[in-house]
Amino acid sequence: MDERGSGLAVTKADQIGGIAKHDLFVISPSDHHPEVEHARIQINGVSVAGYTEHEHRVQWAQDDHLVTEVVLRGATSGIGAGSQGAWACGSQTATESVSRFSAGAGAYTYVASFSRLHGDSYLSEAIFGASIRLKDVYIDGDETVVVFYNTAPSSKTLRAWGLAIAK
Amino acid sequence: MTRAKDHLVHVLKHSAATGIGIDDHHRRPSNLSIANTSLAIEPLPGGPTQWDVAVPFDTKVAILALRSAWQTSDVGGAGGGCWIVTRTAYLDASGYTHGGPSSWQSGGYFGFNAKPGTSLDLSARIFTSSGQYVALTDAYLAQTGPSARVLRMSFTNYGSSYYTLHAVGEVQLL
Repeated sequence: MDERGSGLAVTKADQIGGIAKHDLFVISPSDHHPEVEHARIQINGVSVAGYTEHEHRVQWAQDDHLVTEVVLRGATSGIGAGSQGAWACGSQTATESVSRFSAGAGAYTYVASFSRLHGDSYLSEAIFGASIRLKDVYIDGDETVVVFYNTAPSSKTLRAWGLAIAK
Repeated sequence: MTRAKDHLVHVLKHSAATGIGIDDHHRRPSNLSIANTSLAIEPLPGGPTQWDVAVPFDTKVAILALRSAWQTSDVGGAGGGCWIVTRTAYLDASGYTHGGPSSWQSGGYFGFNAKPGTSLDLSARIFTSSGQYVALTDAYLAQTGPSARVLRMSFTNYGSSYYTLHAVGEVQLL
């Protein structure tokens, strides 16, 4: 079915046609509306070996989500009352992930944008445990995949808390 | 097994109660990669210069994330920002940006801007390869034809000569 609206008046004939299409694809009224799903992310103390990835997968009820977003806070406090963290969005492909915001540590709190799609290697600074960065966020079937990477040679402890949504 | 009658009642409820038709109640969110590193931005008092990105006609909200090439921190990130853009004039884009030339290489500044709050711009002046002069001034969803719509971004050049836009990013269309 066409995902784009015509912008024109919809006739009853159009609606009946739409119903026929529904039946063709066996989509029921209750499940053909895209639903936003959300889930908590809680990773507290996972050991990640040196130079390796750690995948955190969030399971959804639906397998047809197109975009996903995650908001994470890391293990270390920033200057203000909050902690370092990142806000990242992704799609069905691993190559279209973009981090919108990441607040890092230091004498001053800094913020930066990252884009896997446009050439950055990571989506955040090393704020999820010493030397652990957010590397990618994407949808794989009925799961949102959050990928972390330990950029150091020795194992480190991953900590991240937050929320994920898919729609 | 769902009966045809259930489908009919469902669709009629949409049309009668909300005016939402059979096509546009099936709209789905989507992601769009965007980039522009060639658009010449006219300096004041000219401009602003517009960059249109085609979007599905039924798009109601766009979440726009842009970054420039200019490095704002010492760890590899860049200056950039994020905005929420709607179709309606009274809900013009709002968002934040960070980055721009600063004596603190590791201390990129950031700010929040909102058009309803009478901000002149929606970003700091960061959208050139040197991270200077060009700001995102406005962003909205504009209908350009009977079934055509664009995400229209306006950029203002506060320098004294033409500068080339440098903006890459992603849009979530809802």
